[in-house]
Amino acid sequence: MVTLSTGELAVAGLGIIAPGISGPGGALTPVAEAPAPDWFQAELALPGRGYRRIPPACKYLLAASRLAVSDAGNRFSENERDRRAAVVATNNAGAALLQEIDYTIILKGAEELSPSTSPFMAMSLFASRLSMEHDITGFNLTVNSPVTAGIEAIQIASRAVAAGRASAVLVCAVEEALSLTQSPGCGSQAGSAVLYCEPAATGTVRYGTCKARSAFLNPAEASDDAAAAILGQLAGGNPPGRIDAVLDDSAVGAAAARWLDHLTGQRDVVIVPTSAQAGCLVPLQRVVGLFAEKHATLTRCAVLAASAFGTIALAELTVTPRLAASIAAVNSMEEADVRSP
Amino acid sequence: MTTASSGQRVVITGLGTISCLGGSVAAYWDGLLAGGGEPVEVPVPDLNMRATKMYLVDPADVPPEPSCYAGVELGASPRMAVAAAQQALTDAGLEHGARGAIPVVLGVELGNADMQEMQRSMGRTMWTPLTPTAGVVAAAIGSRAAVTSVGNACSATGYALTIAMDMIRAGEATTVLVGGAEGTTRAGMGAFDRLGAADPVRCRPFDLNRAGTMFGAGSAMIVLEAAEHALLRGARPYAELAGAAWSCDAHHLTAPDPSGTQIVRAMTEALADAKISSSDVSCVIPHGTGTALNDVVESHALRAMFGDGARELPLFSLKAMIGHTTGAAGAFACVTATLMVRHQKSPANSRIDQDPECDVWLPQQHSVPLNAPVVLINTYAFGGNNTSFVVKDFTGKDAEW
Repeated sequence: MVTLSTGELAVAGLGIIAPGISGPGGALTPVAEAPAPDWFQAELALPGRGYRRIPPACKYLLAASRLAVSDAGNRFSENERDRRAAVVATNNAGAALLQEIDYTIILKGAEELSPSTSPFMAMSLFASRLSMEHDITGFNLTVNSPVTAGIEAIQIASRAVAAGRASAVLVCAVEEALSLTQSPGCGSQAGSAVLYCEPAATGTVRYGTCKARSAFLNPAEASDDAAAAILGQLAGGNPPGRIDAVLDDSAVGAAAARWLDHLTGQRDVVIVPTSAQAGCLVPLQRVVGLFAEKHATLTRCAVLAASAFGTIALAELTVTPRLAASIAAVNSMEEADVRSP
Repeated sequence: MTTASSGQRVVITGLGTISCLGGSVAAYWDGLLAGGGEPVEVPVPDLNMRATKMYLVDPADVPPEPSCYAGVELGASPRMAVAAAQQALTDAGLEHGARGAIPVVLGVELGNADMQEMQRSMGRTMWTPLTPTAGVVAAAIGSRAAVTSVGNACSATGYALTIAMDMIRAGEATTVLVGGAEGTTRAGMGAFDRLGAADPVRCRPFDLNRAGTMFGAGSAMIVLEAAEHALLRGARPYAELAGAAWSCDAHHLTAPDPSGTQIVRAMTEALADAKISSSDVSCVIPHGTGTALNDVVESHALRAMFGDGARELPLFSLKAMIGHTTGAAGAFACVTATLMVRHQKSPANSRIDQDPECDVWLPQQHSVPLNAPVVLINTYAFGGNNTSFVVKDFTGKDAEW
């Protein structure tokens, strides 16, 4: 039943903006403390005009995309504008804003809405602003499946590239913290993670390649047998050596965790606890972190994400051997690029 | 653009709709032939804005279940989606036991917003997911395949249809359920009202006095299938989804690029993907929202695309009859085009006082017969998110191979 992905993407650039994370190399080990109010310095990340009136999540997305595009040596702009694309995953980038818009209407009337931010009640506006930033006219696509959207973005982007709809694509996830009345605790996430990708067959395999597949497990029928049938297909006959699993405590998440128990001792399983309201950033953040890790040999790993609402997706990564001391050092090592045949 | 069209041809084998015209596909087609629906005042509290009407679904046509999914209370939109999905799958002859491998690809913008807004008016503020609809539908039909929710605003289902088509062409699936659903949305209406993009009277695209768009509620679902798979199981395809293309303006957050360059490119590449020329197109369902600039830009783009032939090319202005169903608009247009192909005619348009700046043909006196129909559909969205796709006849020699 698992839907396999067509195509595979080569990852040539990484970018991340999130509290407690200084760069791709720190994406697997974020500082756990509550973020400081000024964790993101927009004027430093996005110098220049045209950014003041856009919502914070849009700024995270633009800043992370700048980093990924720059990390790839600005190869993005070498593609014709009609061949550039973006797939943006989000669940809650506009959730607090939507609540604010609605309260303004209730309490003051629609005429009091801000004309600059109210269009962002359409969640695709974040991707649209990204397209304006990088002159992307191939397409931009927004995917909003709870929790798994970031992994699905890889799946959709690789399929679209395989179909010839673009030759370079930014695969992104972006979230904004929920309001205090929506989420009194610290369960929500803020930030953005971006992969700069090209077709695996012809692109620059600098960090490695990725592909994704997905399936559905009805939360009301999330038995161990049902989960095993789906997760066994998702992981494949020869599961990657390391699986980072982003799971909440829902019936679906618990069933996935129990299935992963069977791999203990055979594979390195890293459970990353999350909540439904965290959104879709963390799974793509793990993808960025795994690509940024340095290995002496070609390494297979995976990120699994499951939502309380039944979607399950797995990104399979093949990480290119890199012996450079840091991501920054790799930036200057064009000769280290590995091109696929 | 070169798409992977060397794979399977993709046909439409099932349809489902719930709209202001009724709770079935038959009622929908009859309603279009009868001139469409009428907007009504939206019965939502605190609707503090100028334009307060929508093309609403009769409450009797909105199913009461499922009222809850994975602990989340559901509004009308996901419930309509489930009912329309069941219609489409039954129409395709795909009974419950045959649905496990069917992916679900929905275009959903403000999916459960009506429930969230009702809760907000009652003082309940805790977060719930905005877009659970695809999962709700997947659970209801018994799918265990990929489930994806696309959020490209008013062109979301144009993108969803293309994704589903690409999945079948690539051999990822033989059958995909694709569609969308939207309900009432106070925040959406208010934002459009603030931007001067909401017409308080009715949805009247291409009209000289148009003052913006007006939303419509409902759900439209389509079963897409690999042609070979459909024919092997004895299904009778309604039509073929022959080609599709995407583009992006990268111009402005809310206004379309006045040059129309990218919407012309989307139309051009959709026809190329379908392996047809502009002279093969027998009807267009435009995006046609009723906003001042959209309708002028799209009219100019159609003139650029079809030249003087645009004067003899009938347009069917769907949103004038059911309102702008936002995320579901592409799915409604696909269902409409499919019914045009099946019935070989385009219904007469609603009466308008046509804007001379919109120099396109909108037949209003009577329906237009379509022989070997080829229908081009456009969907656009805020931020210049454009899709065009082609629904064409799949009978005669096509159906025999």
